[in-house]
Amino acid sequence: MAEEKLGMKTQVPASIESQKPRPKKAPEFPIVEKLNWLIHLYYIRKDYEACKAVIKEQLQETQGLCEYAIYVQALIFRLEGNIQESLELFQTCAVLSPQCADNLKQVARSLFLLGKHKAATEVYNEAAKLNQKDWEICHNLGVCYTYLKQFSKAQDQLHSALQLNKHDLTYIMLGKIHLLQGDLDKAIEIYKKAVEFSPENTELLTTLGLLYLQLGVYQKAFEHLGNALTYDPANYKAILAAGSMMQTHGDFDVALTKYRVVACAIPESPPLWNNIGMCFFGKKKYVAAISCLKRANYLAPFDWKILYNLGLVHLTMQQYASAFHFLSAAINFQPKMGELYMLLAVALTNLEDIENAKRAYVEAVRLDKCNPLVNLNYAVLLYNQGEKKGALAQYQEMEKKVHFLKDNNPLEFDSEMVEMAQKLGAALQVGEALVWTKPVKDPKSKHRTNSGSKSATLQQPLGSFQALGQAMSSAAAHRKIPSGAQLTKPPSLPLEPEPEPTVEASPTEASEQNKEK
Amino acid sequence: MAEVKSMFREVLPKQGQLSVEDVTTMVLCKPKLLPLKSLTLERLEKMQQTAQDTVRQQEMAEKDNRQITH
Repeated sequence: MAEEKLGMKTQVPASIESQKPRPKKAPEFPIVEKLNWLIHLYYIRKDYEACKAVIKEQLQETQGLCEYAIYVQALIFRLEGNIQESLELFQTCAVLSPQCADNLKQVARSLFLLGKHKAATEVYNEAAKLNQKDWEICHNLGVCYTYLKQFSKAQDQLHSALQLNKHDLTYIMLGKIHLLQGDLDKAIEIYKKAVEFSPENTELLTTLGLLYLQLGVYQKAFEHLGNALTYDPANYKAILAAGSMMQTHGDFDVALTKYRVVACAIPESPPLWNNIGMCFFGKKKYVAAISCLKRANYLAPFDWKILYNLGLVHLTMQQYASAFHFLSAAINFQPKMGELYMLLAVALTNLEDIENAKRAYVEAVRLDKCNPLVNLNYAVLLYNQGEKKGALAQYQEMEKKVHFLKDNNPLEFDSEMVEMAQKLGAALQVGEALVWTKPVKDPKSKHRTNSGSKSATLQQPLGSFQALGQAMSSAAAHRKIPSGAQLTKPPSLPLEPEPEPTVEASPTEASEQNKEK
Repeated sequence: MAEVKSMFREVLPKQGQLSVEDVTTMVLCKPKLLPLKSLTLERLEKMQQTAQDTVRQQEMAEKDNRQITH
C-alpha cells in the first residue's frame, strides 16, 4: 500500500506542470513531494525514529499538505498502538484526497481496530463506491458484519470477495460464520472448497478433520488430520485430535509418540496431559497415569473430564476415598452425566456405604439412557446384597439397552463386561424360582450379548447338566468356534442340581434354539 | 436350601474421557509462595532483641551495685 501511494504521488507533478507552464513558479512544485522517497525508504527499513524526523521536517516545509507524509505517520502511529491518533491522521488524508479509496480503507481499518464496527462498515461502503473490484473491501466488510452479527450480509460480502480473488482467510471467515449459526454441513462444504483451493493449509485441514469428528465420520476425519500432520508434523490441534482417535482404537504407543512431539512445544496444555494420562491408563501404568492427570488437573481445575479420569484411575487402583473425592468434584461440574454417578456408586460400595451407593445408582439409571454398564453394575450390587428381584429387573434393563445398541450400531462390548453379564445371568437364573418364560428370555439374550469368541465359555457354568452340555457343544461346533477359547478362571458360583421336571424342560428349549439357528 | 453366595465385582470402563480439542476455559491464578517473615519483621525482631539485652545488662549492673553498698 505504501508503494502504491508512492507511485500515485509521482504522477501528480506532470499534470500540475502541464496546467501551469509559467517559468517563474516551476521550481516550487516539486518541493511538496521532494522527501517522499526518503520517508518511504526509512519506513520499509522500519527505522521509525528517523522516518518520523523526516516526516516532521517535510510537514513543516509544506504546512501540513504533504499527504504521503501524513499517511506514513498514521501507519507508524498504528504500529505503535496509537489507534485513535492514527485514525485522525487518516481522516486528514481522506480530506486531502477525497477520491482515493486507500485512505478510506485505512480509516475503516482504524475504526475496526477501535471496535467501532458499524462506522467501519459505513466507511468501507464509501470506499467500495470508489473501487468496485477490491476484494479486500468485500472481505473486510464481511468481517465487520460478522462482528455486528448480520450473518447474511457477511456471507454475501465474503462470497463476493471469493469471486473477485480467492484467499484462505475468506474461506476461514465463511466457515466460522456457518459454525456460529450452528450449520455444520454448510461449514463442512465451505472447508472442503477451501481445502481444494489450498491443499497444504494445515489450519483448514485440521478444522475440517475436527468437524468430521463431531459428525462421527471417523474415516474422513482421520484422513484430513493425517494430511495436516503430513505437512506440519508438530501441529498441536491435529495431534490432539488424531491422538485421541488412536487412543479410542487402542493404539496407545503410537498416540504417545505423537504426544511426545507436542509435549516439548506446549508443555502446559491440560487436554494434552489428560490424553497422555489416559494413554498410560490404557497401558496399565496407573502411577504414571495419575501423575499426568494430576498435572492436567493443576493446569485446568474446572475440567470435569480430567476429574472423571482421575476418579476412574483411582478406582482401578482401589484408592476409593481419593476416587470419591475426584468423582464428587466432577459431578459438581457435570451433574447430568449418569456414568459419573455410577462410578461414584462403585466408590461408595467399596467404602461400605451401601445406602448411598444405591441412591447414586438410582440417579445414574435415571440420567443415563444408553449405557448398559450402569445397569449391570447396579444389578451386581443388588445381587451382592441379596435383592435378587431388583437385580433381575436391572439385568433385564441392561438387556434392553444391549439390544438397542446392537440394532443401531454394531459395537464391540467390553470383554470383562460380557463375562460379568454371563456370570450374573447364570447366577440369577439359578437363584430365581424357575418360571417358564424367564429361562427362555435369558439364554437368548446371552447369545445375543456374546461375541463369537465368548460363547464357548457358556459350557462352564452349565457343565452340571450333561444334556445342556451336549447341546452347547453342538451349537459351538455349528458356529465353527475355535475350541481354544476357554475361561482362565473357574466359574465363581457352583450350580446345584435341579429337580427332574425342569431338566426335562431344558433340553427341549435347547433343541428349539438349535432349530432357530 | 443353603446356597453358597459369591460376590461379584463391578465392571469399570476401560476408556476414560478424552480431549479432542483444546477449548479455552477459565484458569485460576496460581498461588504465590510468600515468606513466613518479611525482611522488615526480621529487622524489628533483631532491634527488639538488642534492646532487651541492653536492659537486662543494666539491671544486672544495678543489682551488683546494691549488693556492694549493703
